[in-house]
Amino acid sequence: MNKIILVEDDEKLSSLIKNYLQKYEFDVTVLGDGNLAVDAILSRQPDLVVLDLMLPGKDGLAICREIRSKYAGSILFLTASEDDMDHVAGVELGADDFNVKPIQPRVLLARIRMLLRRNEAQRVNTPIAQNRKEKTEHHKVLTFGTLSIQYSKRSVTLSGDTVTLTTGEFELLWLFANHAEETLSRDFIYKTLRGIEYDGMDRAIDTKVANLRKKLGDNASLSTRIITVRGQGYLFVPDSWGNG
Amino acid sequence: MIRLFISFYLILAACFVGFQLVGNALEKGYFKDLVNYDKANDYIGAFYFLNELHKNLDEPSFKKVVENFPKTSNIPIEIAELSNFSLPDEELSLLKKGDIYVEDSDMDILFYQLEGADLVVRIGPMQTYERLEEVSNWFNQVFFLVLGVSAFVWILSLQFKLKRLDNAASQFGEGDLNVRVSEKGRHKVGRLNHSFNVMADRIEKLIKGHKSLTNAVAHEIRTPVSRIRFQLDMMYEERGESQRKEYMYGMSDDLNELSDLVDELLTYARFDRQALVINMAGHSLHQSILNVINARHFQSDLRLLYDESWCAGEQSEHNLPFEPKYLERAIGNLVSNAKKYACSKIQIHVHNQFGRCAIYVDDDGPGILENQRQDIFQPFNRLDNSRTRATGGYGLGLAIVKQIALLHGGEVSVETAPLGGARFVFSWPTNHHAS
Repeated sequence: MNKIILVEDDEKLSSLIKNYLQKYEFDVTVLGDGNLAVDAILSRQPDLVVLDLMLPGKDGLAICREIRSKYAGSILFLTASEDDMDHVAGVELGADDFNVKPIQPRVLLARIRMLLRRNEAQRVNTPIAQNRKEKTEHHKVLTFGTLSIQYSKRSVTLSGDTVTLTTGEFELLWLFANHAEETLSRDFIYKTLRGIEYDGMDRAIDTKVANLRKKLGDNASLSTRIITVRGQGYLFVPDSWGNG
Repeated sequence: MIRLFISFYLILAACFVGFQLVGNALEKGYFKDLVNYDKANDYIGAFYFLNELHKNLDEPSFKKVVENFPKTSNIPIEIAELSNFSLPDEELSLLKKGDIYVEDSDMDILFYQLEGADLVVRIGPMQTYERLEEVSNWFNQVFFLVLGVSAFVWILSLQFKLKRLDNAASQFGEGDLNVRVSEKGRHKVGRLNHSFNVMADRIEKLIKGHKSLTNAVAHEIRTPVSRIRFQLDMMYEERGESQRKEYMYGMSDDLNELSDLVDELLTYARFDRQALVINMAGHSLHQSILNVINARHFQSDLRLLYDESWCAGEQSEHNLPFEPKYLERAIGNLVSNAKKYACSKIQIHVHNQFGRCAIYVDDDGPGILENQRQDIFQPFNRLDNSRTRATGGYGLGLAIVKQIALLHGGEVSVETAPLGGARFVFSWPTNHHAS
């Protein structure tokens, strides 16, 4: 069980996050006061710390500065500030990720898992890229709950039913499936699928995602399977496809 | 720069020439009599001598004297019979009376009839030695050159100063709010540099305030929004009916919080933006304070003491100029604020003296540190700086009080209360009734 310390002064939000993460089997400790955070983090050495920027007592940046050299785990900032300077300061101080509120719980979860995987990979000294290479082998079948994707046959089944996809939609789904729990920017998707750069205007990807959602039983306004991450891109959720 | 110089120079030259022309015109017109009188007096002595000579010398010696008159004289003299000069009748009668006739005051041409004779003396026209004339013409022309050069130098230095100001102004306009101009003597254009800096200071402050307000608003709104987002997604995934209801109630609370925040913000914005002139008619402050106290239902463990003795005397004493709706809001905010921090009691009393009315709201809470006393009236500024919900509110209450105080031409300040906690003083001038 991964240990997480959440430093957040809004009691209601922190208890919501705690409940949510506990469902996914994380051991979450909530701290509401910046003054207590440094000692708690250093003594417990959790796998990951979620830090708010504005805190009573000591702010998030100060905490990050104090713990970074003595703490090996990941630091994720979660803040309502959209100030670029805060963002830069956070990354310079050694934060691993920076997220702006409001954030969907599923996205937060994906970020946390991503950081934990990366940390794990660093610890056992196997780069993530290598893992990914194996995954992208084309004869492989990817299965997420009731969703199964077979690259060689270009076939997709959901709860046993075959889903008919166009080539473009299939390529996109395959890309998502191979990058489960990662936020993929439109730019990245464009470069990978078409080899040309995204100019910020083309809605082709959005249309394809909308079609995929329709065919795979997801809802655009409250998506759980392919989530829109505001201002960043899309995120494929591996564990929301029902039990297979 | 060249345009500035040319226009300035032309104006100077035109002024100079125009002034001369006007002077000449006046000399020939309006002041003609004065000038002629003055001119006649210039030569009256010469005519006197000639007259005396003519009287005392016999005809041939007088002629001889006249003939020997120096030829290089700048003032030539001609003596001849009256009929030799073709003079108008009016002037003839003047000469007959023994007066001097000035024909041309510029060139100095004058006529005089010698006593007891038919002889008329003409003096003038006045001449100048040619070489001198040349030099003086040169000198007059150089005047315009000198005027031009000095105007050019002066404009150049002004231009240099203006350029600095212009650069600063355009940099400022492009968004570099730190730009200020030098106020050193050699860079100064009147008070313009100082005024520019004062303006820049105020704009910078205003924009900074606006920026931090926007940030604060974004932060205040995002917190409940992210809670709603979280609860909505969790509700979507949740199957248990009771748990789903819990999330629903939670979201409802957050929506209420959001709408309270928006109300509060709008109130603040109304007081902040309005440059309104409020109606400062006379009202009973005593009644307003009672309204505030009655409107706030008090927790039983806090005691609110209002010292009513200040208005015990005459009736007119508590008829003070203020806007009751606003003032009640201000006192209400102060009381609510005191309520949050007080341990056991809150005291309100009023001082109305020397044309100034002050309302004191004291509490026995922890008080406010000296260095934080200015900041607490800034919007969204709470002392713990963490937006913690523990004390509630959005940090706008005191900012609104300050706006109301300013509307009344007064001020609000904070000091240490005799009870040990914070004392807020809301004061405003009362001596100028309804302006």
